[in-house]
Amino acid sequence: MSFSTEILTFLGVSAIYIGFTFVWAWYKGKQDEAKAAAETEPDVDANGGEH
Amino acid sequence: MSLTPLQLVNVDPLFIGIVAVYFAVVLGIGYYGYKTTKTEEDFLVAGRNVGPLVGGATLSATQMSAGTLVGTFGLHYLLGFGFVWIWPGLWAGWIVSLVLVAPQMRRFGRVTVPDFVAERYGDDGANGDYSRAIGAVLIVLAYTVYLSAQFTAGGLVFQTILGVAPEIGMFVMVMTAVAYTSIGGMRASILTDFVQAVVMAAAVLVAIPLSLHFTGGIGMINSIFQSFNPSFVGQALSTADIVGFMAAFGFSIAAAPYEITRIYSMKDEKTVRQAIGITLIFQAIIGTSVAVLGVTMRVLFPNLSTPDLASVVMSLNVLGPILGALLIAAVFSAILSTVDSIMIVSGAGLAHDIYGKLINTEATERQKLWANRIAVFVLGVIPFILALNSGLLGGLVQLIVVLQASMMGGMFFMPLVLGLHWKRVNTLGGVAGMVGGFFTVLFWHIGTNIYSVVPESITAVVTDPVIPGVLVSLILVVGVSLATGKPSKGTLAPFFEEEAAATDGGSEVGDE
Repeated sequence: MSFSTEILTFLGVSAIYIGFTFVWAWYKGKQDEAKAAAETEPDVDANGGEH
Repeated sequence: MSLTPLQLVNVDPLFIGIVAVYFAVVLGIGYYGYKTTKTEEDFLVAGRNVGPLVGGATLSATQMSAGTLVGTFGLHYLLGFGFVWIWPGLWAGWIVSLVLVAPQMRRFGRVTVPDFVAERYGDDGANGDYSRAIGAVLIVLAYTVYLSAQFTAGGLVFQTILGVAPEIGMFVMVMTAVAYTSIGGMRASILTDFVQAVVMAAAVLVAIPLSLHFTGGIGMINSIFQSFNPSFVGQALSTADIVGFMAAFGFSIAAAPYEITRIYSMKDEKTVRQAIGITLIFQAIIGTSVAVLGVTMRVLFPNLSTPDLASVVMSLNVLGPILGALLIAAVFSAILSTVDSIMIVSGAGLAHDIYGKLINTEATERQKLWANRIAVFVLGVIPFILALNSGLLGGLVQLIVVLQASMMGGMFFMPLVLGLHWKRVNTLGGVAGMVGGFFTVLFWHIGTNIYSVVPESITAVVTDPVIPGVLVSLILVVGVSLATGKPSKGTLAPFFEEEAAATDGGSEVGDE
């Protein structure tokens, strides 16, 4: 394998790691938001709030 | 061409000036940290308001030490580009941290790793005091070894640039780090880390085109090595070697107390996840650049007396005074940013965990703050003395760093990951896993590197002490926990929602 191919292979692997990290951060962020919204809904009901 | 350190004493005054300005900036940030630090929590977790960019930078700067810009640079010079594949192993540790450790620790939101140990493994008959003491003492021991490696690297850099004795260089590094860390605490440490991460990334990126210009470009380097040593620009390490490095760093990153303290300093869990992504970007830039630069240095200076000199010789002989000074500043950055982080954590082990939580529980905020400052000073001087006798540790800087990383991995990985995600782990199991993991790493290193009592057929497969360390820790955590009673709900409540709800609702605290 040539030097430039080896460098590009490594950069490709790096991009996979970085991509996974940000996708996971986005996914867990959405999950946390949904959970927070679900937790606040019963409080609204208890106070006679509206949907 | 062969160079020795003392031949490199004719340094441009501009070069010295730029490095001096760098040190002045670092000390200035330390003074700013001093003016804005009023409580122990300010000192240890910077008020918990660090954002993702600064957070990512500080995780990078803390992790990339002398091992990166001196040791790893030298290993690329010695072994070729293939050594770059240790990085994905290290990042595997960050992925484990992202999924299983870091956000959960931020949610827990205390100050030190022994705080976690004391709460999760608090069924010791003393509300976690014994567990805390064991965790804190082991951290102080392991980080004293690590600091001595950093000081040794600092001494080598000073010797190479100025031709002074390494002891004098070490002394300057210790005094600088102790000064800004002890007065400025975590706020100063994180701000200097941000500056240092940017300096490191900028220096190695800018150095690439210049070094490629001198070597004739990537095509020329490729043709030189393909003719007599193709592995130098391709795969250079055995699979067992790479797995050994991957295990050492992978296990230790996820459980490293100095990284977890930075995670405690961030705003929230979302910030922690984003910061881990940003740190991987910094590391990909710096890792790739250091690998390419190490290879180009082998073309330019094939006969250096020791590979650890490669980055410093490049800055003095290839890059010119301004860029050279930037790279040297990056080397100092790498060392100082790790040293300050380690000092805060080991100082906190002594001041927060042992003094504040065990000896003087009635200490005022001012007493706790100054206890941390004094602890940073004391735990800076002790490894300096150890570094003066570095023959005890032997080998290249990188190998010393690997031993420290192995100790942390062996000690904390299993108790942290299992403690956060498996309710059945109890105090006896957690503590047995910590102690067993730590001493397995230590004795394995002694048995293989000093007395060679472990057969080669085993060391050929088990290339790093962290592997038996984590394995023994896993067996102890699981085995001892299952063989003894269930943990109390009180120790589970901070980490598991159902137990927290049950405790809040007035359920009986005790066995499930």
